[in-house]
Amino acid sequence: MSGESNIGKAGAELWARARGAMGSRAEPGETPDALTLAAYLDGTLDPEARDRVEAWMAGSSDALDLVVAAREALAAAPAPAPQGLLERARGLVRAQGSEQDRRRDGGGLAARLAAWLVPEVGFLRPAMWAAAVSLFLLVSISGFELGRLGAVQMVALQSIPADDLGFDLGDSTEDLL
Amino acid sequence: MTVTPEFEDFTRLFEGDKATWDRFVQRFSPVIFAAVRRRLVPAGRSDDAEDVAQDVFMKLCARDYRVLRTYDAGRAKLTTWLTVISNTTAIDHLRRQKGPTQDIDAVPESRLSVDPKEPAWLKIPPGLLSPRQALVLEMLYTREMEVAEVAGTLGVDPQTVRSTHHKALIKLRAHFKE
Repeated sequence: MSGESNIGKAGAELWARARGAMGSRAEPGETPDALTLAAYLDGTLDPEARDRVEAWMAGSSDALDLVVAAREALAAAPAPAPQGLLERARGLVRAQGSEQDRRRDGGGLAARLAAWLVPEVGFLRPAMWAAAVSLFLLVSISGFELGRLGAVQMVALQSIPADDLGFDLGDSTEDLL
Repeated sequence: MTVTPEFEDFTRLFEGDKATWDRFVQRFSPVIFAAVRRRLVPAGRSDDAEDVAQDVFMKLCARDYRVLRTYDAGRAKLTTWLTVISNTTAIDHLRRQKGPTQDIDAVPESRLSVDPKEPAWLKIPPGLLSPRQALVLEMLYTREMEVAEVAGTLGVDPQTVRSTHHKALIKLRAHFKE
């Protein structure tokens, strides 16, 4: 604060008194997400959102540290990344890509069927599962109902006296011959 | 302020295109590595920088790029957002590396004592100072930062800091005179 005539001991004492009156610090505000914090650092937030971020910074030493460190990092020249990091980071997606490739092109009927059944679009996956469960339930219930109906008919048939059925086996056998 | 897109190929990236991912890594690894390193060096953990930077990349592409998909180019620069993500990842790393907390019985009593508080009637009413005013006073007096540093942190010019500081002190003086 050297060279700032209007910022001095009196102000420091007043702020110390105010902080003492407030407790250790001001109430910490709501923690912003990374994108909001980035927007604050870029100066793209509206005044209300900016105030919320600054309230959070005023109320939390860690929050202020984070913003100060982020500002310093942005102001500094980027450091060349080690080759090892580049290779490992690139490998993160190569591994995922290989898995997808195996699934898509691995030959094999099962692999192709799996690739066809599992949609690539993420939001469709729950729908596929819901459809599979619905189909399973439909088949199960239909099977159960068909079985139950067959059993009811069988019981009904067995409970009818033979005479009521009106079969005349004697004549029919001759006709057959 | 309009944010200029720094990376145009998100669609291909999210489709799993490896060449696009490689370009992303090549382009932004210096930003990520620098931000991570800057946070770890003062804590004496500079050797962890490469692993933590790798954690950042893992975080970005995990679960079908779930974190990276939250980025909105209309709100902030990608380098700024990556710097924030890198910082928070490094902070999480340092927290995990922290040793066990000290037993309170082993701490000298003098270190546990607190300053006597002001009487209740002196309590600062909420809203007396704006968040920015409180923040400026905190940085100038508690952290003893220079006006230029405060201005840099807030993203404003030094004159705005002086003006904010001046108005805040007027409010406090008036409050404590009542």
